[in-house]
Amino acid sequence: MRSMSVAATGMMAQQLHVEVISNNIANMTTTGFKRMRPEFQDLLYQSQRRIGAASSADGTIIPAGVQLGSGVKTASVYRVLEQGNLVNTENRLDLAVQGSGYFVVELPTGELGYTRSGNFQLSPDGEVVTADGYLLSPGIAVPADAVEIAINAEGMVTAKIQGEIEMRALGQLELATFVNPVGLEAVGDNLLLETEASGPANLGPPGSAGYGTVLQGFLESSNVNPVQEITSLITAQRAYDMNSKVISASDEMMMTVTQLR
Amino acid sequence: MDNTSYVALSRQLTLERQMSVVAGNIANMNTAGYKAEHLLFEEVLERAGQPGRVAFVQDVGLVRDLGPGALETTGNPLDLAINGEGYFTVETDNGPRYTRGGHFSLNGEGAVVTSGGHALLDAGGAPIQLPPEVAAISIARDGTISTADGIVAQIGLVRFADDTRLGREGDSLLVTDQVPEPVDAPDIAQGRLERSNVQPILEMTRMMETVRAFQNTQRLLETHHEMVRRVIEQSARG
Repeated sequence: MRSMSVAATGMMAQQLHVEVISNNIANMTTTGFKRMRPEFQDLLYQSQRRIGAASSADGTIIPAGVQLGSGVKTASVYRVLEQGNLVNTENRLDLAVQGSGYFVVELPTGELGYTRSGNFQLSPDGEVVTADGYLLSPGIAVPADAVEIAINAEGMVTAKIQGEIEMRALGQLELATFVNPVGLEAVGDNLLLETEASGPANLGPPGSAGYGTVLQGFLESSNVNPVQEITSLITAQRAYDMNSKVISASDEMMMTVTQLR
Repeated sequence: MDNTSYVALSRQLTLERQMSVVAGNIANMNTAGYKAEHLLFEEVLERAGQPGRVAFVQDVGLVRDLGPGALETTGNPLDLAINGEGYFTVETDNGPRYTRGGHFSLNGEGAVVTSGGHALLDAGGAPIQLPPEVAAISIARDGTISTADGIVAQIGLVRFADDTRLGREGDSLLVTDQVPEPVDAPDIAQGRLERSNVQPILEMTRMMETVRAFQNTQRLLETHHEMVRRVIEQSARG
């Protein structure tokens, strides 16, 4: 029975919906996390009576035929790139991007990774690294005798060195923007990779046209909204319920047929 | 002449299709821009060579409920909901297709595309291309897309003389051979999606109705069968 397989596609879609929601809720406090949203589309249709077919020799046509659908499918699960709230951490190497742009990270494989999560630390050599120890690109080394690090909105990194009066420039941060940032591939560890869909990375200093600014001492929290997630969860669960009801109703109809004497 | 069985059979076949339509509506409860559909039945009259009329049932058409769906805020700047009438036009390999499912994104080259990769067309019928390195896209109610550098393009909304003659093609796309006309007063809401207009309660009651009707028809068949059997038994005894 067609209605059974249609309802099965519905249940599968809602199950995926719940999976996406649970991932969002699990990452509610992940720095720089962007919430995900599934998008559904209807599946192919079969015509029982074709729309526009002739219904007589006088040129009358069928205004609305009978097209039976075969269910629903997940078209995409996309990231919603709204700005997350900025949380004050007072840690000198915590950086948040206000506006568009990603920090560039050198992965051990030699590839470049992109992240919104700006909780950086210092390596034993004084280099600025991510929580996993990956180097920030372009690299910035902090001398061992630096007392204070200051990073301004345009990404200029300066340090106060013991015994020196003027601040010493250490380097310039760069952000990467993409034509289609939704097309970046998430690989875990708060990292994203460039894909064909995202387009190539455009590097530039923070604060220039098209790039966000950097805020020192702050972290961007996730943009997951618990109220929204829970309401979606309820909708998804109810939709799942109803699809399973369709299956049991179809089953009942089939049972009626088998009981025919 | 076993008209009773045939009439019942015609009813059961249409009921099974009705069930598929209901299942399709429920499965697409969370599909953006989906419009609920309902089967239209008609009796088909046939004079079966005897006095009186025998009415078979046939499903003659599918009626699409064109009422608006609720608008859901998503926060994605390229999620567009149409308030009121109209369809977006997208370009496919097989010609233009129309949709109300307004989830769009940019591809690597900066073109506005659906999740199937089909380009959204502007009011003049050309694909919409945004300049690279756009930071913020704002889309006005009339479909004008502007970035920090000014107006880039205008999304075209189209309408048709007969909305019911749009065929479905899957992927939330509609197809028709009618000539599209531009919508006089387009009303597009940015950062929102139009949810499906499926009403779960209605669909559930329709589903129960279908199951019961199916069972009743079955009972009719059984009763009829029983009658025939008794006639045979009695005539054999007589």
